[in-house]
Amino acid sequence: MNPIIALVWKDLSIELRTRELVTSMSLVAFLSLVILGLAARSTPPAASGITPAALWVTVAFAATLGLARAHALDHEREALQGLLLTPVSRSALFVAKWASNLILVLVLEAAVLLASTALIDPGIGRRASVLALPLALGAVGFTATGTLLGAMTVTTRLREVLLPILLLPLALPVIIVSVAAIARALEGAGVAALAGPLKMLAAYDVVFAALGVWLFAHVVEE
Amino acid sequence: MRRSPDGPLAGALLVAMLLALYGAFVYAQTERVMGDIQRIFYVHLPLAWVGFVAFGHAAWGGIRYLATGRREWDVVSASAAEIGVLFATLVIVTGSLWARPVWGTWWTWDPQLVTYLILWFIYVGYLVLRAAAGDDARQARFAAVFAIAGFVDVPLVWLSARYLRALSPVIFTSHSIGLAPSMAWALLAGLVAWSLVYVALVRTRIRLGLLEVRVQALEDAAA
Repeated sequence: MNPIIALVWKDLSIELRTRELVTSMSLVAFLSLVILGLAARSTPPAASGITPAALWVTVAFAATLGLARAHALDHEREALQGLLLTPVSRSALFVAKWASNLILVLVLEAAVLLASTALIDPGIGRRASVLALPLALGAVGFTATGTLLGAMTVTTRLREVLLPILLLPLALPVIIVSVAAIARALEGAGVAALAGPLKMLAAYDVVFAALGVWLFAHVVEE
Repeated sequence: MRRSPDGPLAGALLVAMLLALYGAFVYAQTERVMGDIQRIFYVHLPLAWVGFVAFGHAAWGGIRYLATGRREWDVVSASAAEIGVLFATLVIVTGSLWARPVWGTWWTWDPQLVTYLILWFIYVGYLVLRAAAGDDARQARFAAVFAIAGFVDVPLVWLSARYLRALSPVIFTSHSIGLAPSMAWALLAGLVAWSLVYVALVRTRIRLGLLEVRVQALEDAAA
Protein backbone atom coordinates (compact mmCIF):
# COMPACT_ATOMS: atom_id res chain seq x y z
CA MET A 1 0.00 0.00 0.00
CA ASN A 2 1.12 3.55 -0.72
CA PRO A 3 2.67 4.86 2.54
CA ILE A 4 0.69 8.10 2.46
CA ILE A 5 -2.61 6.21 2.17
CA ALA A 6 -1.51 3.82 4.91
CA LEU A 7 -0.64 6.75 7.22
CA VAL A 8 -3.93 8.53 6.55
CA TRP A 9 -5.78 5.25 7.14
CA LYS A 10 -3.93 4.87 10.46
CA ASP A 11 -5.09 8.32 11.63
CA LEU A 12 -8.64 7.77 10.42
CA SER A 13 -9.02 4.32 11.98
CA ILE A 14 -7.86 5.74 15.35
CA GLU A 15 -10.51 8.43 14.95
CA LEU A 16 -13.19 5.93 13.85
CA ARG A 17 -12.56 3.89 17.00
CA THR A 18 -12.54 6.74 19.52
CA ARG A 19 -14.42 9.51 17.65
CA GLU A 20 -12.95 11.90 20.22
CA LEU A 21 -11.55 14.52 17.82
CA VAL A 22 -14.68 15.00 15.70
CA THR A 23 -16.91 14.92 18.78
CA SER A 24 -14.91 17.45 20.78
CA MET A 25 -14.34 19.77 17.82
CA SER A 26 -18.03 19.72 16.91
CA LEU A 27 -19.10 20.40 20.49
CA VAL A 28 -16.78 23.41 20.73
CA ALA A 29 -18.14 24.60 17.38
CA PHE A 30 -21.78 24.20 18.46
CA LEU A 31 -21.11 26.12 21.68
CA SER A 32 -19.41 28.91 19.77
CA LEU A 33 -22.37 29.11 17.35
CA VAL A 34 -24.85 29.18 20.24
CA ILE A 35 -23.01 32.11 21.83
CA LEU A 36 -22.80 33.95 18.49
CA GLY A 37 -26.44 33.14 17.71
CA LEU A 38 -27.62 34.47 21.07
CA ALA A 39 -25.63 37.66 20.60
CA ALA A 40 -26.98 38.11 17.06
CA ARG A 41 -30.56 37.42 18.15
CA SER A 42 -30.51 40.33 20.60
CA THR A 43 -29.59 42.77 17.81
CA PRO A 44 -31.37 41.43 14.67
CA PRO A 45 -30.09 43.90 12.03
CA ALA A 46 -26.52 42.80 12.73
CA ALA A 47 -27.34 39.11 12.35
CA SER A 48 -26.83 38.70 8.60
CA GLY A 49 -23.62 40.74 8.72
CA ILE A 50 -21.89 38.43 11.16
CA THR A 51 -22.64 35.19 9.31
CA PRO A 52 -19.37 34.83 7.31
CA ALA A 53 -17.29 35.79 10.36
CA ALA A 54 -19.32 33.44 12.60
CA LEU A 55 -18.52 30.52 10.28
CA TRP A 56 -14.79 31.16 10.28
CA VAL A 57 -14.42 32.11 13.95
CA THR A 58 -16.12 28.84 14.83
CA VAL A 59 -14.17 26.71 12.36
CA ALA A 60 -10.81 28.33 13.15
CA PHE A 61 -11.02 27.89 16.91
CA ALA A 62 -12.55 24.42 16.88
CA ALA A 63 -10.08 23.25 14.21
CA THR A 64 -7.11 24.66 16.15
CA LEU A 65 -8.14 22.63 19.20
CA GLY A 66 -8.57 19.52 17.06
CA LEU A 67 -5.20 19.93 15.31
CA ALA A 68 -3.42 20.37 18.63
CA ARG A 69 -4.98 17.15 19.90
CA ALA A 70 -4.27 15.26 16.64
CA HIS A 71 -0.56 16.08 16.99
CA ALA A 72 -0.55 15.26 20.69
CA LEU A 73 -1.74 11.74 19.73
CA ASP A 74 1.34 11.33 17.50
CA HIS A 75 3.53 12.47 20.34
CA GLU A 76 2.15 10.10 22.96
CA ARG A 77 4.18 6.93 23.48
CA GLU A 78 6.70 8.18 20.88
CA ALA A 79 4.48 7.17 17.96
CA LEU A 80 6.08 9.78 15.73
CA GLN A 81 9.57 8.55 16.64
CA GLY A 82 8.53 5.13 15.36
CA LEU A 83 7.33 6.62 12.08
CA LEU A 84 10.58 8.54 11.67
CA LEU A 85 12.49 5.25 11.81
CA THR A 86 10.56 3.85 8.84
CA PRO A 87 11.93 4.45 5.30
CA VAL A 88 9.19 7.01 4.52
CA SER A 89 10.28 10.49 3.46
CA ARG A 90 9.56 13.42 5.78
CA SER A 91 7.54 15.07 3.00
CA ALA A 92 5.31 11.99 2.76
CA LEU A 93 4.80 12.13 6.54
CA PHE A 94 3.76 15.77 6.19
CA VAL A 95 1.37 15.11 3.30
CA ALA A 96 -0.25 12.20 5.15
CA LYS A 97 -0.74 14.17 8.38
CA TRP A 98 -2.02 17.12 6.38
CA ALA A 99 -4.52 14.90 4.55
CA SER A 100 -5.91 13.40 7.76
CA ASN A 101 -6.10 16.85 9.40
CA LEU A 102 -7.88 18.17 6.31
CA ILE A 103 -10.44 15.35 6.41
CA LEU A 104 -11.14 16.12 10.07
CA VAL A 105 -11.59 19.83 9.41
CA LEU A 106 -13.83 19.19 6.37
CA VAL A 107 -16.07 17.00 8.55
CA LEU A 108 -16.08 19.81 11.13
CA GLU A 109 -17.01 22.36 8.44
CA ALA A 110 -19.93 20.21 7.27
CA ALA A 111 -21.19 20.07 10.86
CA VAL A 112 -20.73 23.83 11.25
CA LEU A 113 -22.67 24.51 8.02
CA LEU A 114 -25.58 22.39 9.27
CA ALA A 115 -25.60 23.87 12.76
CA SER A 116 -25.21 27.48 11.62
CA THR A 117 -28.11 27.10 9.16
CA ALA A 118 -30.27 26.24 12.15
CA LEU A 119 -28.78 28.64 14.69
CA ILE A 120 -27.50 31.70 12.82
CA ASP A 121 -28.87 32.21 9.32
CA PRO A 122 -31.13 29.95 7.18
CA GLY A 123 -29.51 31.58 4.13
CA ILE A 124 -26.39 29.44 4.78
CA GLY A 125 -28.29 26.27 3.92
CA ARG A 126 -29.69 27.75 0.71
CA ARG A 127 -26.25 28.90 -0.48
CA ALA A 128 -24.33 25.91 0.93
CA SER A 129 -23.26 24.56 -2.47
CA VAL A 130 -21.46 27.83 -3.29
CA LEU A 131 -20.26 28.55 0.28
CA ALA A 132 -18.63 25.15 0.51
CA LEU A 133 -15.96 26.10 -2.04
CA PRO A 134 -14.30 29.05 -0.22
CA LEU A 135 -14.76 27.24 3.09
CA ALA A 136 -13.07 24.06 1.81
CA LEU A 137 -10.27 25.90 -0.02
CA GLY A 138 -9.69 27.86 3.19
CA ALA A 139 -9.46 24.61 5.12
CA VAL A 140 -6.76 23.32 2.75
CA GLY A 141 -4.43 26.24 3.52
CA PHE A 142 -5.40 26.38 7.18
CA THR A 143 -4.58 22.71 7.77
CA ALA A 144 -1.34 22.86 5.73
CA THR A 145 -0.05 25.61 8.05
CA GLY A 146 -1.62 23.92 11.06
CA THR A 147 0.11 20.62 10.33
CA LEU A 148 3.54 22.25 10.07
CA LEU A 149 3.03 24.34 13.22
CA GLY A 150 1.16 21.64 15.16
CA ALA A 151 4.11 19.27 14.85
CA MET A 152 6.24 22.05 16.33
CA THR A 153 4.07 23.37 19.15
CA VAL A 154 3.27 19.90 20.54
CA THR A 155 6.88 19.53 21.74
CA THR A 156 7.09 22.99 23.33
CA ARG A 157 6.42 23.99 26.90
CA LEU A 158 3.17 25.81 26.08
CA ARG A 159 1.79 23.00 23.85
CA GLU A 160 -1.82 23.61 22.80
CA VAL A 161 -1.77 27.24 23.98
CA LEU A 162 0.99 28.07 21.51
CA LEU A 163 -0.72 26.66 18.39
CA PRO A 164 -3.44 29.34 18.06
CA ILE A 165 -0.89 32.10 18.80
CA LEU A 166 1.23 30.96 15.85
CA LEU A 167 -1.40 29.51 13.51
CA LEU A 168 -4.11 32.18 13.52
CA PRO A 169 -1.90 35.10 12.39
CA LEU A 170 -0.22 32.98 9.68
CA ALA A 171 -3.60 31.69 8.47
CA LEU A 172 -5.26 35.14 8.53
CA PRO A 173 -4.72 35.83 4.79
CA VAL A 174 -6.66 32.63 4.01
CA ILE A 175 -9.39 33.51 6.50
CA ILE A 176 -9.73 37.11 5.23
CA VAL A 177 -10.21 36.05 1.61
CA SER A 178 -12.47 33.12 2.49
CA VAL A 179 -14.69 35.31 4.70
CA ALA A 180 -14.97 37.89 1.91
CA ALA A 181 -15.92 35.20 -0.63
CA ILE A 182 -18.51 33.71 1.74
CA ALA A 183 -20.02 37.16 2.28
CA ARG A 184 -20.39 37.60 -1.47
CA ALA A 185 -21.85 34.10 -1.86
CA LEU A 186 -24.46 34.93 0.79
CA GLU A 187 -25.37 38.06 -1.18
CA GLY A 188 -26.17 35.77 -4.10
CA ALA A 189 -22.92 35.67 -6.13
CA GLY A 190 -22.40 32.45 -8.09
CA VAL A 191 -19.21 30.42 -8.45
CA ALA A 192 -18.21 32.36 -11.60
CA ALA A 193 -18.41 35.69 -9.73
CA LEU A 194 -16.18 34.27 -6.98
CA ALA A 195 -13.40 33.22 -9.39
CA GLY A 196 -11.07 35.98 -8.11
CA PRO A 197 -11.06 35.10 -4.39
CA LEU A 198 -11.17 31.36 -5.14
CA LYS A 199 -8.03 31.65 -7.28
CA MET A 200 -6.34 33.64 -4.50
CA LEU A 201 -7.26 30.92 -1.98
CA ALA A 202 -5.93 28.20 -4.29
CA ALA A 203 -2.66 30.12 -4.71
CA TYR A 204 -2.31 30.53 -0.91
CA ASP A 205 -2.94 26.80 -0.51
CA VAL A 206 -0.09 26.02 -2.92
CA VAL A 207 2.25 28.36 -1.00
CA PHE A 208 1.40 26.83 2.39
CA ALA A 209 1.67 23.28 1.02
CA ALA A 210 5.11 24.04 -0.45
CA LEU A 211 6.25 25.52 2.90
CA GLY A 212 5.07 22.40 4.72
CA VAL A 213 6.74 19.94 2.34
CA TRP A 214 9.97 21.96 2.51
CA LEU A 215 10.15 22.69 6.24
CA PHE A 216 8.49 19.68 7.91
CA ALA A 217 11.74 17.67 7.94
CA HIS A 218 13.38 20.39 10.08
CA VAL A 219 10.47 20.34 12.52
CA VAL A 220 10.48 16.61 13.28
CA GLU A 221 14.25 15.98 13.10
CA GLU A 222 15.80 15.13 16.48
CA MET B 1 43.38 43.99 14.47
CA ARG B 2 40.48 45.23 12.35
CA ARG B 3 39.11 48.62 13.36
CA SER B 4 35.57 48.45 14.65
CA PRO B 5 33.04 50.21 12.38
CA ASP B 6 31.12 51.34 15.49
CA GLY B 7 32.62 54.87 15.54
CA PRO B 8 31.94 55.71 11.88
CA LEU B 9 28.50 54.09 12.15
CA ALA B 10 27.57 56.24 15.15
CA GLY B 11 28.83 59.36 13.35
CA ALA B 12 26.90 58.57 10.17
CA LEU B 13 23.79 57.83 12.21
CA LEU B 14 24.03 61.16 14.07
CA VAL B 15 24.42 63.15 10.83
CA ALA B 16 21.68 61.20 9.03
CA MET B 17 19.22 61.56 11.91
CA LEU B 18 19.82 65.32 12.18
CA LEU B 19 19.29 65.65 8.41
CA ALA B 20 16.14 63.50 8.60
CA LEU B 21 14.70 65.62 11.44
CA TYR B 22 15.54 68.82 9.58
CA GLY B 23 13.98 67.38 6.43
CA ALA B 24 10.80 66.28 8.20
CA PHE B 25 10.20 69.38 10.32
CA VAL B 26 11.69 72.25 8.31
CA TYR B 27 12.69 71.42 4.73
CA ALA B 28 9.61 69.49 3.54
CA GLN B 29 6.74 71.78 2.54
CA THR B 30 3.54 71.56 4.56
CA GLU B 31 1.02 69.20 3.04
CA ARG B 32 -2.06 71.03 1.78
CA VAL B 33 -4.88 68.88 3.17
CA MET B 34 -3.47 67.37 6.35
CA GLY B 35 -1.10 70.18 7.36
CA ASP B 36 1.72 69.56 9.81
CA ILE B 37 0.22 66.25 10.92
CA GLN B 38 1.39 64.71 7.65
CA ARG B 39 5.02 65.16 8.81
CA ILE B 40 4.70 61.93 10.82
CA PHE B 41 4.81 60.27 7.39
CA TYR B 42 8.61 60.86 7.24
CA VAL B 43 8.98 58.63 10.30
CA HIS B 44 6.09 56.21 9.70
CA LEU B 45 6.95 55.09 6.17
CA PRO B 46 10.71 54.56 6.75
CA LEU B 47 9.88 52.58 9.91
CA ALA B 48 7.52 50.38 7.86
CA TRP B 49 10.10 49.79 5.12
CA VAL B 50 12.88 49.01 7.58
CA GLY B 51 10.46 46.72 9.45
CA PHE B 52 9.98 44.66 6.27
CA VAL B 53 13.76 44.50 5.85
CA ALA B 54 14.12 43.31 9.45
CA PHE B 55 11.64 40.46 8.92
CA GLY B 56 13.40 39.52 5.67
CA HIS B 57 16.70 39.54 7.59
CA ALA B 58 15.19 37.22 10.22
CA ALA B 59 14.00 34.81 7.50
CA TRP B 60 17.43 34.90 5.84
CA GLY B 61 19.05 34.05 9.17
CA GLY B 62 16.58 31.16 9.47
CA ILE B 63 17.38 29.82 5.99
CA ARG B 64 21.13 30.02 6.68
CA TYR B 65 20.67 28.31 10.05
CA LEU B 66 18.74 25.39 8.54
CA ALA B 67 21.38 25.07 5.80
CA THR B 68 24.48 25.30 8.02
CA GLY B 69 23.34 24.48 11.56
CA ARG B 70 25.55 27.28 12.90
CA ARG B 71 24.29 29.01 16.06
CA GLU B 72 25.52 32.39 14.76
CA TRP B 73 22.74 32.41 12.16
CA ASP B 74 20.14 31.70 14.82
CA VAL B 75 21.44 34.70 16.75
CA VAL B 76 21.15 36.85 13.60
CA SER B 77 17.57 35.66 13.00
CA ALA B 78 16.47 36.22 16.60
CA SER B 79 18.07 39.67 16.74
CA ALA B 80 16.48 40.81 13.48
CA ALA B 81 13.06 39.55 14.57
CA GLU B 82 13.28 41.32 17.93
CA ILE B 83 14.22 44.65 16.38
CA GLY B 84 11.55 44.01 13.73
CA VAL B 85 8.89 43.71 16.44
CA LEU B 86 10.10 47.02 17.88
CA PHE B 87 9.81 48.69 14.45
CA ALA B 88 6.40 47.10 13.77
CA THR B 89 5.13 48.41 17.12
CA LEU B 90 6.34 51.90 16.22
CA VAL B 91 4.69 51.62 12.78
CA ILE B 92 1.34 50.82 14.39
CA VAL B 93 1.71 53.57 17.01
CA THR B 94 2.73 56.26 14.48
CA GLY B 95 0.00 55.08 12.08
CA SER B 96 -2.54 55.35 14.86
CA LEU B 97 -1.33 58.83 15.85
CA TRP B 98 -1.64 59.87 12.23
CA ALA B 99 -5.10 58.34 11.74
CA ARG B 100 -6.58 60.10 14.79
CA PRO B 101 -6.53 63.69 13.47
CA VAL B 102 -6.84 62.79 9.77
CA TRP B 103 -9.58 60.15 9.83
CA GLY B 104 -10.98 60.99 13.27
CA THR B 105 -10.26 57.53 14.61
CA TRP B 106 -7.32 55.79 16.31
CA TRP B 107 -7.74 52.72 14.14
CA THR B 108 -8.84 52.13 10.59
CA TRP B 109 -8.76 48.94 8.53
CA ASP B 110 -6.39 50.55 6.09
CA PRO B 111 -4.38 47.80 4.25
CA GLN B 112 -1.01 49.09 5.49
CA LEU B 113 -2.13 49.14 9.11
CA VAL B 114 -3.85 45.75 8.84
CA THR B 115 -0.72 44.25 7.26
CA TYR B 116 1.45 45.59 10.06
CA LEU B 117 -0.95 44.48 12.77
CA ILE B 118 -0.88 40.90 11.44
CA LEU B 119 2.92 41.02 11.05
CA TRP B 120 3.14 42.25 14.63
CA PHE B 121 1.14 39.20 15.78
CA ILE B 122 3.29 36.83 13.70
CA TYR B 123 6.60 38.08 15.11
CA VAL B 124 5.36 38.42 18.67
CA GLY B 125 4.34 34.78 18.19
CA TYR B 126 7.90 34.12 17.05
CA LEU B 127 9.25 35.55 20.31
CA VAL B 128 6.78 33.47 22.36
CA LEU B 129 7.81 30.36 20.38
CA ARG B 130 11.49 31.00 21.17
CA ALA B 131 10.72 31.38 24.85
CA ALA B 132 8.67 28.15 24.94
CA ALA B 133 10.67 25.93 22.58
CA GLY B 134 12.88 24.18 25.12
CA ASP B 135 16.51 23.19 24.46
CA ASP B 136 18.80 25.32 22.30
CA ALA B 137 18.92 23.20 19.15
CA ARG B 138 15.15 22.80 19.02
CA GLN B 139 14.63 26.48 19.77
CA ALA B 140 16.87 27.46 16.86
CA ARG B 141 15.24 24.97 14.47
CA PHE B 142 11.65 25.94 15.31
CA ALA B 143 12.48 29.65 15.27
CA ALA B 144 14.10 29.30 11.83
CA VAL B 145 11.09 27.43 10.42
CA PHE B 146 8.66 30.00 11.81
CA ALA B 147 10.75 32.99 10.68
CA ILE B 148 10.71 31.61 7.12
CA ALA B 149 6.99 30.76 7.16
CA GLY B 150 6.22 34.19 8.65
CA PHE B 151 8.15 36.03 5.96
CA VAL B 152 6.57 34.01 3.15
CA ASP B 153 3.24 35.05 4.68
CA VAL B 154 4.04 38.79 4.33
CA PRO B 155 2.96 39.20 0.67
CA LEU B 156 -0.14 37.06 1.27
CA VAL B 157 -1.13 39.25 4.22
CA TRP B 158 -0.61 42.34 2.09
CA LEU B 159 -2.67 40.97 -0.84
CA SER B 160 -5.54 39.95 1.46
CA ALA B 161 -5.58 43.31 3.21
CA ARG B 162 -5.70 45.05 -0.18
CA TYR B 163 -8.43 42.71 -1.38
CA LEU B 164 -10.41 43.62 1.71
CA ARG B 165 -10.07 47.31 0.89
CA ALA B 166 -11.19 46.74 -2.70
CA LEU B 167 -14.51 45.59 -1.23
CA SER B 168 -15.02 48.66 0.96
CA PRO B 169 -13.14 51.56 -0.61
CA VAL B 170 -11.26 54.00 1.61
CA ILE B 171 -11.27 57.59 0.32
CA PHE B 172 -7.57 58.21 0.60
CA THR B 173 -4.60 56.36 2.04
CA SER B 174 -1.06 57.25 2.96
CA HIS B 175 0.02 56.40 -0.58
CA SER B 176 -2.31 58.77 -2.37
CA ILE B 177 -0.24 61.79 -1.33
CA GLY B 178 1.46 63.38 -4.31
CA LEU B 179 5.06 63.90 -3.20
CA ALA B 180 6.63 67.30 -3.90
CA PRO B 181 10.44 67.14 -4.41
CA SER B 182 11.15 68.53 -0.93
CA MET B 183 8.90 65.81 0.54
CA ALA B 184 10.67 63.09 -1.43
CA TRP B 185 14.06 64.28 -0.13
CA ALA B 186 12.80 64.36 3.45
CA LEU B 187 11.46 60.83 2.99
CA LEU B 188 14.78 59.64 1.57
CA ALA B 189 16.67 61.20 4.51
CA GLY B 190 14.30 59.45 6.90
CA LEU B 191 14.83 56.16 5.12
CA VAL B 192 18.62 56.42 5.38
CA ALA B 193 18.50 57.50 9.03
CA TRP B 194 16.13 54.76 10.16
CA SER B 195 18.03 52.12 8.17
CA LEU B 196 21.18 53.16 10.06
CA VAL B 197 19.25 52.93 13.36
CA TYR B 198 18.33 49.37 12.39
CA VAL B 199 21.92 48.47 11.49
CA ALA B 200 23.21 49.91 14.80
CA LEU B 201 20.56 48.15 16.91
CA VAL B 202 20.82 44.81 15.17
CA ARG B 203 24.65 44.84 15.36
CA THR B 204 24.48 45.47 19.09
CA ARG B 205 21.83 42.81 19.59
CA ILE B 206 23.80 40.23 17.54
CA ARG B 207 26.93 40.98 19.57
CA LEU B 208 24.95 40.45 22.78
CA GLY B 209 23.49 37.21 21.42
CA LEU B 210 26.92 35.86 20.47
CA LEU B 211 28.21 36.70 23.96
CA GLU B 212 25.24 34.78 25.42
CA VAL B 213 26.17 31.76 23.29
CA ARG B 214 29.80 31.96 24.53
CA VAL B 215 28.76 32.29 28.17
CA GLN B 216 26.46 29.30 27.73
CA ALA B 217 29.28 27.26 26.18
CA LEU B 218 31.64 28.18 29.05
CA GLU B 219 29.01 27.25 31.64
CA ASP B 220 28.39 23.93 29.88
CA ALA B 221 32.13 23.24 29.79
CA ALA B 222 32.49 24.06 33.50
CA ALA B 223 29.56 21.87 34.49
